[in-house]
Amino acid sequence: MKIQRFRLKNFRPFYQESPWFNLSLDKEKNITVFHCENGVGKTSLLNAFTWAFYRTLTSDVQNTEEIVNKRAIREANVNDEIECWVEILFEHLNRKYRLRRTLIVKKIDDQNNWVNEKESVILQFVNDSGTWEEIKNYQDEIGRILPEKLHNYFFFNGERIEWIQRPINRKEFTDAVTLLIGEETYNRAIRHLNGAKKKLEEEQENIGDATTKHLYEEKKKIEEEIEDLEKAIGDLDRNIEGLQNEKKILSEKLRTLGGEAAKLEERRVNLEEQLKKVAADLTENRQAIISFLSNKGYLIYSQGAIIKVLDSINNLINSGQIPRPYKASFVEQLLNKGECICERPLVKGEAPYQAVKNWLDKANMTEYEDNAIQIKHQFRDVSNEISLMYDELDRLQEVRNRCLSERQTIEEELSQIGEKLKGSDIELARRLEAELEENQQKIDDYLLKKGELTKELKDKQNTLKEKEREIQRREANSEKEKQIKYEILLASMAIHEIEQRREKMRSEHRRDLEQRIDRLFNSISYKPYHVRLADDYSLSLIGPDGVVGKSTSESQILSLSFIGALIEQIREYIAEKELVGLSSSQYPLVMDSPFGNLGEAYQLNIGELLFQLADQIVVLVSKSQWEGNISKTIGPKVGKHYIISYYTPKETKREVFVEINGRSFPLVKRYAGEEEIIEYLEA
Amino acid sequence: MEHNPGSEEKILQVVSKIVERVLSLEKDNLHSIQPHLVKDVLSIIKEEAQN
Repeated sequence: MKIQRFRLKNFRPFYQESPWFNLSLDKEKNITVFHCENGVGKTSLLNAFTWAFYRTLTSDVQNTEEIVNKRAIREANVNDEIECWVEILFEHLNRKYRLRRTLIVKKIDDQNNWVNEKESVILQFVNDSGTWEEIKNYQDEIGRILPEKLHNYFFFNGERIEWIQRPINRKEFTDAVTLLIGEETYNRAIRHLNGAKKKLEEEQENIGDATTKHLYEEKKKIEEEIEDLEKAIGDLDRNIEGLQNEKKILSEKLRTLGGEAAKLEERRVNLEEQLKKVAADLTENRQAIISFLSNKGYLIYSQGAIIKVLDSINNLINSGQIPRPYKASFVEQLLNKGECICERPLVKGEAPYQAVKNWLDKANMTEYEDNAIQIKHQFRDVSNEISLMYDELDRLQEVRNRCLSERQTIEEELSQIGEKLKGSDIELARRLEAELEENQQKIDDYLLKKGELTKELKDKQNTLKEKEREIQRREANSEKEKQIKYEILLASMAIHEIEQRREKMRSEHRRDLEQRIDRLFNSISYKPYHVRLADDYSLSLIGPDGVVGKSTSESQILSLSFIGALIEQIREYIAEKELVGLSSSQYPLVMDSPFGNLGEAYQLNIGELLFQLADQIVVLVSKSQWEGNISKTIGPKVGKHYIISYYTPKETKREVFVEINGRSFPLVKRYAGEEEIIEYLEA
Repeated sequence: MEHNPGSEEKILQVVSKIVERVLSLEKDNLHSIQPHLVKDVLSIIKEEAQN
């Protein structure tokens, strides 16, 4: 997919119709830069794409209901309809597409209130005869070109890129991975095999005897209970998410109060982030201890036996029983020669000959001696390993204690902040704190309830399996039932086989992704860390002493590496294997503030990485984000520059200009009008 | 559990055939909005169980 051009009308801050913005299609200069100051419309430009393609806005957008430009609504008469749209022309697999999403609102009073009137989407392509033809099911077509579940990785805000690592988004990502690795095929196969199995069970129930029918009744009851539990857990998840959003809003309100209350809330937000990190470290540490004990734990239990064996061997050595002072070959030589070392003749059948021959039996113990000595050496190594194991366990325990103590300190400070806010002089701060406390209590209660229900669900699932086994253990009462039971067995085995294949594929994908992220991360970061991607797709950095806390810069680099690794995979997995029908390796990448708040040391490396990420790159930057290293690094690769100039009637507003290719362009400019104006310039 | 004549190895072969056929069916229909494939999957199981 390559975006050729786009334009907007009355979309969020963009009043009336914009000109076409032609994106660079030059292979060598594949970057298009939009220069725009913060607060003018940078994020809205990013959202023009997500809204047009998927009807979604990125998570950092406030007032998501306000799609239509406010000035356009204000200038309209009551009952007038106001039109807003985004139109995009793009190319995919040599086919030209035109997409336009339109929203029409109606102004209902002179207070500038409005209601949605109509929303429509037109997706057309140029057919073989060269005319535009409409695609009826546009969602399917867009989904084939770039699936909605993956769009967050192609259209994103660099300043808030850490969202990728938040648990709720990791869940989204896991869903996206199902698409990426072709898992959807497996999921559907399992779903349909289960459906077929159910039909076979109905057949068996219909022809089975009374007991079989009764067992199926019981099974159905358990299935209904499972369904209710799953629904209840889903409801709890939604409630928790809603409360967490509410918490964010309350926290934001506290911070806008200013003064001591704002400082305390700021500190609390910070501490809560730290608490999350400590919780992640504790989980990591627990996993490390479990993994260590499962690999080396046997040493603790074998220690007693090892000491006994070593004592026995040492006793044998100390008493001179091993090693023997002579070898079998030496005794054989004496017997063949017919003379002892004391020069006495050795004649077969006589007592001296027999006495020397008896030594031969003892001399044949060599193999056992060698083994004993070898075991002694090996066990000595094991003893050392036991000692090292205790050292490592001590170290892991020390990390654990440090985390626990850190957690306690943070919790104490959080509790003090809560107390201070409850006793604040400002009435609003006290009220907000009370609401926050109540909100947190609800979240805790819901989480507790979720834990209980999840356990209950697991128990029920086990009971269901047992019930299924009970049904299948029963004798069939006819040839037909026997056949159906066989078919049910085949369906169950097929489901199991596909589940196993899916698991194998998931773990291979995770390992591959981890290696890619690690490589990209280390091409940017100068610290000797390695990336670890856990089963739930959470990312951690491992230093020489274990898990390290991520700085803001490291989190951003990690997230960018994650996106880079993911895009690499998409290009290789999907484009080559055509696993999910995405059959192009060309994708655009639209990034708002792609360099976030990174220090200069990282910016150069990130710039290099950018070129490798996608075939077409759109970058939205403010003056401060553009100037310096960034313009030097990516400047030579830029094919197009657009400037979104903001003209303000405010006399106090500071004017801002940006320098592009030796020319100065206004980003913010004062003027003697009444309305704010946006002007579009091409450098 | 009882089943039609055939060794464990035979059953595994039948399961493997079912898996391959079902996956191929799913791949061909991946982009259908709401594919009603349960019936087709059931036919595959019944067909392979007869072989």
